[in-house]
Amino acid sequence: MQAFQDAFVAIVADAALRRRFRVEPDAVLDGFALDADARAALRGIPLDELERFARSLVAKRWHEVARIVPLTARVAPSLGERYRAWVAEHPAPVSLALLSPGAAEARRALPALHAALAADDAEARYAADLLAYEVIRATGGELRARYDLDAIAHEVARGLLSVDPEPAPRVYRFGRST
Amino acid sequence: MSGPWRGAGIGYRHAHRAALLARTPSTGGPAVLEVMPDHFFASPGALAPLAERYPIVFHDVGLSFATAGDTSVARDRLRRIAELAAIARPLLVSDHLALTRSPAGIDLGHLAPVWRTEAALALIADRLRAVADLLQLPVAIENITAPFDIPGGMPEAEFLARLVERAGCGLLLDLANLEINGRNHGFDARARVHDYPLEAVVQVHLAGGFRDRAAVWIDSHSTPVADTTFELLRELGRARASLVTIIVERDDNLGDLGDLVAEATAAAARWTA
Repeated sequence: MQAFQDAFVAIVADAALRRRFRVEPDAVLDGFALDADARAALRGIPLDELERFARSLVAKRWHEVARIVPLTARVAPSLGERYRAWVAEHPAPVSLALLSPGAAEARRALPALHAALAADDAEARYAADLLAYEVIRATGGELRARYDLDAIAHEVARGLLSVDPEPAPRVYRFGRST
Repeated sequence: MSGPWRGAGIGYRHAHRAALLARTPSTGGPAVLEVMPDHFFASPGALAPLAERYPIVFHDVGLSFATAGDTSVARDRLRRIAELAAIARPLLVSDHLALTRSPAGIDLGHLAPVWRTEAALALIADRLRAVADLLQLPVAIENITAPFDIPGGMPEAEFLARLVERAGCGLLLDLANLEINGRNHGFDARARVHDYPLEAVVQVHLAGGFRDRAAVWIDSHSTPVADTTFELLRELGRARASLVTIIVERDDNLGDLGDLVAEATAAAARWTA
């Protein structure tokens, strides 16, 4: 049962493994110590339904993360797609954190998403900092930012997108709110 | 109405906290409040004022009863749930017939179907008994929406019937999940529900979903409970002596507390009619 569950969860959680399972299932299953029944059970799951299920799990996770970073998602509509692409290749390890699932996942994804936003000239210059601001505000910690993110967050929350704010370095310290 | 019945309620969501604390069951609040323990892991004390006002049931999503092997993650979670139970004194604790993580430590974050084998039955029954012993509370297990059935396993209803008998636990019957599975997999929920161990039903979940662009029904908890789901309550006559509560679940489009309480009240009226 243990080997079955390891194989099943790995295939669901890892998009690259799932793509490989589609074209060479036996080779993928050879990586797990499966008996014949477990192997047959995994081979019998309809691939399209497996794919749809895996995508639905990612969508649910993004939904939880988006609740933590609503302002950044407004400023950078690409954030959802960036998250979905990242998490499909980075299955989550079990965490004993006291954070809510969305906050824990936002924290886990922060370095990758921050780097992606910061490297994209098409995104608002403050988008990466705003992401860190929202995540750290929810999970606690210190942030050294290049902009006055309190003011930017206030404007975005009112429906106004700052076009080209002047740099105004700030240090923010947050306790945990989730 | 006699027996364990405590009335119908709603799932606690933080957006309703102030409104819930301004009410009680007799002044416009729900008769029962369902709490997800992990909402309070970081601040257990925040549960106390709610528990002073409402009868509580705990509903967890992370015990992953079916995960084989090391139980350290579940034990850590149970320790936290036990701390909260000491504060809230819940009527019962539930989680799902589901897998949320692998033995190797990958966390899916949400519910995945279980391969319903004899070995899984034995494992989950042991886990349910252990949880009930540790918490000293009634434990119930819930049916989930199934994206697919893993081949070679038992039918869900048979598995749950054998499980509640073997573990001595209750069933949390999610009628919305059953109905959605029926729509997505082509069976009649009104007929199928009778295959479940209805005498063991201690709690019912109701929720609203929607049909997505691929014509798949989604258990989104984002819309009011459909009449067809309410109607399934009529099929639960065998649960008359066991049912403790009916909970209306809503995660999105929360709206006013009063609207959700009205849905719960409507469910209670149908049940007690």
